[in-house]
Amino acid sequence: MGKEERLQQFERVVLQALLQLGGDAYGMTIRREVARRNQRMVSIGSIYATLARLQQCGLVTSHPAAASPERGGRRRRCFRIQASGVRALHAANAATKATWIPVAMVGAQA
Amino acid sequence: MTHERAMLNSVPSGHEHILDRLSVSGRQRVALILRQLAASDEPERARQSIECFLLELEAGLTTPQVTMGVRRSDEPASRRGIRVPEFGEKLLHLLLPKETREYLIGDLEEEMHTIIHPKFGPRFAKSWYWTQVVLSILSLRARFLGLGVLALLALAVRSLLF
Repeated sequence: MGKEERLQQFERVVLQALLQLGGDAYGMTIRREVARRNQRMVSIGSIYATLARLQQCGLVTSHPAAASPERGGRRRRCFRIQASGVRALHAANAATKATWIPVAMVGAQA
Repeated sequence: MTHERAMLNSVPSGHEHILDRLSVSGRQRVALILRQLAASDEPERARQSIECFLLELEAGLTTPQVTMGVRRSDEPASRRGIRVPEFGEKLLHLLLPKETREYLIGDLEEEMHTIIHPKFGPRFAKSWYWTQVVLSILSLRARFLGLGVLALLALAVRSLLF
């Protein structure tokens, strides 16, 4: 089983957010996008923990960007999804579709 | 900490008094900004930027985030009530892994100032910040905290048995 198929639900949402945001994705924008998609509060710490895991797998890369005054002079860390990340996302979505049983069918079988 | 002190010691002569007005966290922020400015490829340009920044800081022309470290009585009334909880920030400094610390604290500060505070007000912004602090520490230090709990349990069991 490849790492694509082992993507957890939250990792998948983070990758989708990265895909949506493009090259300007950084902690705050990713957190807001994930919270919007999940419709619930998400901590910035869980985003960084997930991004670290994805980076270890080679699905995401990051680079420090310039500091800005509204951050108290602190730098941003921009994240970018890699081609392997996009492939992993497609594979995970395909795996979900393959195992998906419509609720109506389950109802009919019961 | 020593890096910060070294950076603050590199302030051009004649500008040291500006730092006296700042609190500890204010000095930390200034040290961060100075580090950014000093990283420029052209030393002369970096020196000019540092001087310009310090003059702006003295004149109160810098952004609220930079002057957040200024003592409360020196702040304009409009800027009060949007301070990042200092203790929360210190907790993050203390407990987060070094590689994510700067970015995560910056993200929280930016979101609090640009989105949460203007939209929901200072009270909600502070509680939002604290929630993020606690959840972030739990997310990033779960293993560390788990080991701590295990160690405490082991100590408790040992004291019961022996």
